[in-house]
Amino acid sequence: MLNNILNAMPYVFVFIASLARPLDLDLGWHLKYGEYFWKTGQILRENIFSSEMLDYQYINHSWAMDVFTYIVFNKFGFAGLSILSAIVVALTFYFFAYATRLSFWEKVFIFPLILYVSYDGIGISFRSQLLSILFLGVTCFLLRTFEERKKTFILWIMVPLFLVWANIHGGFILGLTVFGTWCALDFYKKIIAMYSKKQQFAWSIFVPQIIGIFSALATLVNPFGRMLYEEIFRHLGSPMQKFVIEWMPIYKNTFLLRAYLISSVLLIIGIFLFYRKKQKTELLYITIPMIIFWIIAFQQRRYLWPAFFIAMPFWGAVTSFIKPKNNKIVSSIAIGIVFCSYLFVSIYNLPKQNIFKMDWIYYCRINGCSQSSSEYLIKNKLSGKILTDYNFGGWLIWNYPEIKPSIDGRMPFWKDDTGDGVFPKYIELENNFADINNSEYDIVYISPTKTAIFNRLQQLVNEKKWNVAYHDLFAYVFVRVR
Amino acid sequence: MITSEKITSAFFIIICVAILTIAPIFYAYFLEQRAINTLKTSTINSAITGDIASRIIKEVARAEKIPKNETPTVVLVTDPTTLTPFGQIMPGDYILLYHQSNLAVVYDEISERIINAVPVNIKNPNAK
Repeated sequence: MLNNILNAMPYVFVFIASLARPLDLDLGWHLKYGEYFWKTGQILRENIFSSEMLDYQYINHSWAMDVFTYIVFNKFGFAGLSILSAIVVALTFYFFAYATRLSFWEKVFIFPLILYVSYDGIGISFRSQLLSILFLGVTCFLLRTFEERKKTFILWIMVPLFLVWANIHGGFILGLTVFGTWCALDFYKKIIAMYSKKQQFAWSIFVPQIIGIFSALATLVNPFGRMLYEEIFRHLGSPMQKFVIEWMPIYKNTFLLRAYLISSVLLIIGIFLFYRKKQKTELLYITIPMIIFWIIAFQQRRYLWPAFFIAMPFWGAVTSFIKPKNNKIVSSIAIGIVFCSYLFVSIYNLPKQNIFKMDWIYYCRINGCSQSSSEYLIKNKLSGKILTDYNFGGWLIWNYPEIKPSIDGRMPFWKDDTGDGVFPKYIELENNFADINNSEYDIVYISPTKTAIFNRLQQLVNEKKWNVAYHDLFAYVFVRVR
Repeated sequence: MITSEKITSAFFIIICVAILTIAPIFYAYFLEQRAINTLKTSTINSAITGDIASRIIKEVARAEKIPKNETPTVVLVTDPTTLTPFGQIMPGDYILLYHQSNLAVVYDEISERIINAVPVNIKNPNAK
């Protein structure tokens, strides 16, 4: 009985450690999409929230997640999102650890490290990306369970899983990569077996591949059909990625770069240690996608988080290597670590999060937006075209619908029929590659942390071409002098 | 075979794990409520001293352009209605008054951020 409680402790630790304030800058527009569906029963397809690219047909691949987020937020507020997010993270660890068959010793070392390194990606809010990593864990779990039990119904679960996933987040592509790799390897093994006459041909042996095809087809059961794939591929290879934090290369963040380099060394050691003891074909369906995600992650940091999770067997191999031979020592160290980690997050970390006090005022204070400045804009009804800070977009959409932001987190990859988008224009102005004074904007609502455009506007104020209509520590409203 | 002993054991495990999971949440909730109640019962916008004041001064001093050569008076905000010149402040915020520099800094310990900095002209009641 004590063993069972101890085995649950790493998950309890993950749950408590993941209880954090929802700080996602996109939260506002996700809530607005969810609210729209909840009130009208229809999926919002046109852009009605921002002033630029009005009526743009947006393929909101996380539409179902937005509805769910709205329901939870509406009933339980920020605290509800915090708890839900922590549950999802704990379940993600559970499925990956189960698929990898991690021991208690391995879990107590690996869980805190993964959580620490990937906290920026998974610890900031209840987001659709989180569920994507969870579903990736479920995919690995189902494949591992099927390999052990050989019951076909386990694989059939993949079909509804991918159907739900495709309506939650575009990250289902990662799952299809893993499942597709597994199907291809399984197919290859069977062909080899038939060729060497160890197995006779029968259609029934290809059921897993048929399930794979059905799973891929299930992803088309969504409100946007095949257009969903177009939206996903629009994200890939766009030159605008380097301006969105999640898509930025790892080397732009010193912490992530260090973590990446150290983990890469450990990963190589882990792969070597793992395959030294196991068959060369074992978990190959995890190893191949993991290496792909790991390499892509160097250019796009958002792939690092799933890569960390999917690499669990190899982290396990490294921690097993340093495991003492004496079982009593192993138990003492592991129990000590898990309880110290638990006490640390319970007594020190969680109270600092103030999850029950969290509201839009604290959200704003932490993220660096200012309610007074928005209230100023509403009260004074300034005339002219407005350029708003990218980071203010989601927050404005939910809290101040009277102010239509010029840009928000939905828009980096939007392009109109002529191939133009608003994000490249915004980036040019924000970085002062294009002069704001020569733009069509008459009002600029920006954070002083955007130094390039901010300094240029200060210069224009000194030249008496623009005025500062409002300012506080978090936001400035500049107005063109006419 | 599922015996009553196994069911009891499973039930006991679930209860223990649930307690271990929920206890920290209750603890965090208790601390937050205690802080709110303390604010309600505190003297209105009173100056504070001691460890808390030193900690707040130290945290604020890390920011740029904060006067380093004087020790400010730290006021705990309990009733923001009378403090509108300091901007959008909330109960629990701290106002640091730098008398020599004629500067008031509003600091929020929860978000660990300076919320506002305004020029003021207040006479220090302790000044000789």
